[in-house]
Amino acid sequence: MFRKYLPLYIAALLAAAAGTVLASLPSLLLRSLLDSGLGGAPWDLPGPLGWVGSIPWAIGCMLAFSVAAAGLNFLSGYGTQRVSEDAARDLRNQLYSHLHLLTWDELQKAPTGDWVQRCTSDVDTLKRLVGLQFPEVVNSLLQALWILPLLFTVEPRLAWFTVPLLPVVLGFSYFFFLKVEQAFKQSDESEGRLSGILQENVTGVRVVKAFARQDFERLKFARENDHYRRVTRKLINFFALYWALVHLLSFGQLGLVLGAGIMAVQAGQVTTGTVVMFMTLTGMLVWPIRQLGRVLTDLGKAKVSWSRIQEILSKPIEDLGERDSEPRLWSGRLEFRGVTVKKDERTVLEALSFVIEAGTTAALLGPTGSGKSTLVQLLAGLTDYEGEILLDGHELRSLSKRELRAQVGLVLQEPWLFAKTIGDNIGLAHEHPRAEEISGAAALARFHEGISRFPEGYNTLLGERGVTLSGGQRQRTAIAQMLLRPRPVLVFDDSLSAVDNHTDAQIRDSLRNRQDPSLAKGTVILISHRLSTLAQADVILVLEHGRLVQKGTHAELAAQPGLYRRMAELQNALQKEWLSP
Amino acid sequence: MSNWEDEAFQTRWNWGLWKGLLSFAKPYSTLLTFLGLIMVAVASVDTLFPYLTKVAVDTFMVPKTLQGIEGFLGLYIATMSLQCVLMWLLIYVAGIIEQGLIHDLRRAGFERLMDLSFSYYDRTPGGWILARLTSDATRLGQVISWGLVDMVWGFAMMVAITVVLFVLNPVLAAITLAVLPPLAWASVVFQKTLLKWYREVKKLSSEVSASFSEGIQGARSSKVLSREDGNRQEFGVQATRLRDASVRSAWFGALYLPVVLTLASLGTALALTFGAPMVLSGALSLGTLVAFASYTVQLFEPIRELARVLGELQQAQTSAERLLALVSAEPEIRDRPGLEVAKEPPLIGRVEFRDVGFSYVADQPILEHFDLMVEPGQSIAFVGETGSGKSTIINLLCRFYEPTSGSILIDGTDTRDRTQHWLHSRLGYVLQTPQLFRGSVRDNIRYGLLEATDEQVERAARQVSAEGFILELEKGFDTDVGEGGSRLSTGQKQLVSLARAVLADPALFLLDEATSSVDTETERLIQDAVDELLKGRTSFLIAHRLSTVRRADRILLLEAGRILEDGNHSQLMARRGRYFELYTEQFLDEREKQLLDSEL
Repeated sequence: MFRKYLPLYIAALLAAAAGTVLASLPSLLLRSLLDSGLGGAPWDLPGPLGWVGSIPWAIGCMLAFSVAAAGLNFLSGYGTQRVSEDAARDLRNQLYSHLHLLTWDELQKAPTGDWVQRCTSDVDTLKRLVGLQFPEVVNSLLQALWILPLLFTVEPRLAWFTVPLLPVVLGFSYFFFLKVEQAFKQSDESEGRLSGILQENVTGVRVVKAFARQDFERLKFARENDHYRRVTRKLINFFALYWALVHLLSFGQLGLVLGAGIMAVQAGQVTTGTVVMFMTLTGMLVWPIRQLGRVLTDLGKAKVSWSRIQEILSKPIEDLGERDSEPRLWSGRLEFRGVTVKKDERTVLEALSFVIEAGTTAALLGPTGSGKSTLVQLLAGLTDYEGEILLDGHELRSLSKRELRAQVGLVLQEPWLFAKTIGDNIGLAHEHPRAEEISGAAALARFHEGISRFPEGYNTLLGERGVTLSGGQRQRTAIAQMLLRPRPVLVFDDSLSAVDNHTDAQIRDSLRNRQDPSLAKGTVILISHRLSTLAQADVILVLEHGRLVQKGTHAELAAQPGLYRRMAELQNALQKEWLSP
Repeated sequence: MSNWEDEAFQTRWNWGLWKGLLSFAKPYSTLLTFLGLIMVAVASVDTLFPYLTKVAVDTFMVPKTLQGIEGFLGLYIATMSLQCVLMWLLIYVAGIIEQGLIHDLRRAGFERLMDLSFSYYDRTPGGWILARLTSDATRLGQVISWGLVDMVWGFAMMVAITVVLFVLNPVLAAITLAVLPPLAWASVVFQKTLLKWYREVKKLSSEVSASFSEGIQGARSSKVLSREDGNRQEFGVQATRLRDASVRSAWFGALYLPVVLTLASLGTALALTFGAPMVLSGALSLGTLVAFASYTVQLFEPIRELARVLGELQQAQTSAERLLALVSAEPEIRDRPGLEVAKEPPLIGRVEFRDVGFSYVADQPILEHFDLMVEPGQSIAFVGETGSGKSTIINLLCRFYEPTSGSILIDGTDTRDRTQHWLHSRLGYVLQTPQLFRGSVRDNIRYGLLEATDEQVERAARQVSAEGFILELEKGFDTDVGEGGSRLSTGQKQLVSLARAVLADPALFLLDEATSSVDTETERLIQDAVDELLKGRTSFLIAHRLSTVRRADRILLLEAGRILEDGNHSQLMARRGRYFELYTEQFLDEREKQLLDSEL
């Protein structure tokens, strides 16, 4: 996936290498300028630079090399960062798509905060690795690989004095940044606790005020605030020590070269220009090494980030199938033949067989955990099963997820609404919905008047920066979303639970009477705990422990002993309730 | 536009703002001066090193002598050690100032938060408050301490190099420093633009992370709606916008260093071109020429630092403005001067609303001419739809808000003639969404009475039948409840908050009951606990469970801020009015749910 960026990336790294070589050349020229141009020695620049034989030419070349090195520096910096940004975009897109295709069960237990973290800061960590840190390591390495041989070629005896403290600086900075992790962690944890206290005080302000605990909270905050200052100061003091010592080592290294240089010049072994050149190039080696320790410790973090991202990307996903712009709509006859669902070795639904005729309304009743929700998930192709489920004679497995979900509309009990306008939310599943389609769907869901009362009507923004809807309003929005597009099968997963009885009845009314030229009459399947809702269904299915225990109309089931009759008898309990004050 | 949405980039200096910050920097004035002096010293020493090379060239290398080398080496080692010490001091002192300022800003902000009235919290999003005391405080601390470091260093370094160059050779100095103005100009332009683009990247990047969060939470809704493609498309556009902005700022960022390096090498070339003939004619020493070459390379760094710091200071103005707005916010409810907590009588519990009017927003009254008289020990349940005024009455009773007209009397005295502490220290308040604090279960119950013994805490837990579940927790009463009580279930949190209220032994009890359902067993425990709390106290209940409503001595059915029906359960049922309707509907709903739950 990221292979296509490799050529540009390698080109950018090569540009960096070329830049390093070019950047070292001015010091070579300065040496000749000092020794030959000003010192009277013969001009003896090596190889391709052999033609340079006067001061102006030397200065001109120095300038040219510096400018060229700067240009290459720009190209490599831009190139690596561009690759990192392109790859980061691709990775973000891939993550986002992958998350949307995860299985239902996986999404149900999704740890949102953790995943967002992985998709954002972990991606950023990798981006920095590719765009900045890795090039930096490569650059430092190439610099050492080029400059050290150069120094040893020019003057091996003096060159030995440029290396002794370099590994010390590198080792010291590496171990320092490894060690300081602990102090960083302490400081971060303390800051986490501090903002935790703050958060609790902001959300819990009623409790703090109602118990008059302001002084108590002040003390608590002050204590953690002091602690944070203490541990962070400790961290900073570590850094004070680090930078002080690294400065000492770096200047020690330069001093060593200078001292040895003075001796060698006095002994007539090297020229003044050589010493100046050695000072410059040693400086070029020493300074990046100080940062190298930090970069190397950061590489460890990048590895962790990569595995955290891979963990998401390796989760199994659904295949939605091809896009179908004009799905042909069916009649909506459903048949279950020996359907069994097992989750984590537990049988959730067992050997279900029944038929729901096209155009009828079926109600599902069952205690918590009886498998009602799993059953409706089956219809929308959200869960695997054994046995056969036929929709108008087609086995569901033979349909793509897209085809199936164009036929079956599942309305969730707790739908998620997006931070868009309410109109856009209703038209979400449609490519270009017209305004009257949206208001029509809202009217069917008995929400049109409610929306019209909002200050900005259908343009009212939902979410944090806009209006927060009540549970019933959210459910009605979700119903409108589904009704916008004709679907032969509509499934309500207890998605009228938060609207009052009256509205519930109105919505079911409009479902029964919806005028859809493309459909004879839709099939409706609903889960509800309301007797008034259940009683009006054409057929009622009672589930217990994953089995179908009763099936029939209101009149039939009210006459049999069982869960449904106990439900019906609650009415009588209410009568008694009136009599006994 | 409200103040917390204003994220606009300020391009002008706002001196008044910095004056406001000055009061926070005052305790550190000595340290700040000291830090400034250290930075001047650091810059001087930094300038000294190329000079030492010049000395080495002119004194030892050109004459090829070692005379006086001991002294030179001694000087080098001394300079090196001095720089080591200065470096340590600089970071150490800047650290004290930085952390001190962050600490003080946070403390001042938090102190103010504790004083602010409830209305402030209603108007201001929690996230906004949080960001002021975390990221804004940090940024200000950093910018004031390290900003000073970089600014003084940059300035001193520039002056020092200029002085040294002019002392060494005024003519050559004048020629070489010609690159200074374009260098400064380029730096300022680059830093300004870069900051602007970084902001853009930051904004887009937070949009992307909001999309991830929404995408994950809404993935199930997207799935049933077959909305995957649309979401992916929208996200793709966003991701590309982020990428484009990032690439643009990377392009510009990568350009800066090459540009200034080119300018710097131009300076070196100038120095060599005009210096070399001088060396040949003997007007300039070889060492001086070498020194000129190194100084020209060094020059761009202080300029880059100065430009960066100026940009950051400008950016920090937004932080300063928002933080100062919080620190200087005025509480709306204050105790009347002259009231003394020690002299106030105990609270008995006769409550009277006398012709009370209230509105959160002008012209949208929630209550008008509201009258209510409650005898000591009576329990009142409010029933009504969202917006009927239930919560407002509780808010007024707690004096989180004060009436816009009329008055509230407790034991015959206007609450405004008492301290807030008088009322709040005698109040027991149990919330719809139970709010616990990080710490143990024991700490959380003790919140009701700080001086309570362990024995008293446990007794309170027993009284509300919470002891059973508490002892089953990993460490019993010492179990950590997590931030906001996140490790306990909703029902458990409710029981703990009831125990907290029992321990406080309040004269007035207020319950804002949860709508969220808990299992039948916990439900029963909560009911018993509420019974316990109602005993002998004036109580106000916003009730959702019928069982709670029925327990009240008096039920008030509210609609649009008016009392529609008033009486006990049987009286209101007999009336066959609105209460009767609500009751029967909810009775069935509750029982139906119970039936399905108990079948498990």
